[in-house]
Amino acid sequence: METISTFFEMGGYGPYIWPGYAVSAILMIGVFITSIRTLKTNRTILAKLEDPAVDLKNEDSINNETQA
Amino acid sequence: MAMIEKYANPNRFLSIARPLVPWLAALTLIPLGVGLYMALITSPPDYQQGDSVRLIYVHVPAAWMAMFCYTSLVVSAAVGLIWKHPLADIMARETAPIGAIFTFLALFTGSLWGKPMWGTWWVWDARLTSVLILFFLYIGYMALNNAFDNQQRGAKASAILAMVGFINIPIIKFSVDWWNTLHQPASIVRMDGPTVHSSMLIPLLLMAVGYSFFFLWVLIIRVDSGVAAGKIRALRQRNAQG
Repeated sequence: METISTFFEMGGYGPYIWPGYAVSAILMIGVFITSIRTLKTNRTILAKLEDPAVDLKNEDSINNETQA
Repeated sequence: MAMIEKYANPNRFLSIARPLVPWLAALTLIPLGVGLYMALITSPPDYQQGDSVRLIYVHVPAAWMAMFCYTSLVVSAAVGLIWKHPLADIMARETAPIGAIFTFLALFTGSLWGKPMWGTWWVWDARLTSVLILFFLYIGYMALNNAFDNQQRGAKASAILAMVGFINIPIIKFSVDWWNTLHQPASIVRMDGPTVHSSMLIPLLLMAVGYSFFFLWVLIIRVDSGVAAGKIRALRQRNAQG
């Protein structure tokens, strides 16, 4: 247990190191997730717009959702 | 030029880029995984800075990517401006948020490193100030790009801003040589070669490789999304008119 707490203390610099790594991970994973989600949303909208069977003028989800 | 024309077609570009995605994922995650292990566990503390030096492994790659992404953005924007290829405009627009995040991380991790080492969260030295300006350039680019109803006008205006702002990149790089700065001078990209020991250089380079492929991975996802968004816009306009 001592080695784990020693590891997290990082020689007293833990409060500076861990937020640095954590925020880096959060923002990089965050931009990845939001990019994937936008791609999936846009692909769904595009599929509906390109589907001849869909009534485009009355399909609210196609006409009102933003594409970013 | 022929190659640019050949791959400027968005669908052709995507047919090549999409199969690359799993490879880019592997080339991101493996170097990052090994790099993080070395950065946090096997690499030594610094004889002066102790364990706080471990911030180098997230600070420097973020800073390198901040500058690389901006350069990539300017090249894409210039190609879009000069040759009017829609894919170039999309690439520039989708690069900006990623580059802005890297720039923020460079500033944030640098601040966390500066407090214990320099005794301050911030100082208006040449390197820090010019990187802050880079962050504002990214924000300004994104704001201008989205400011117009006509997407092409937004792309054009923001491309000009980006190109004018490119002078900031050599300023960032050489700031530590040109001015008397608190930020340390170059120890890796130097005429005489790196001065950093391999026990630190290897994890640093692994993290940089991981960050680079991460950028390409996310960029391709975003360009794919941007191409779809363009098609959606066109279809909606056609739908509204017809």
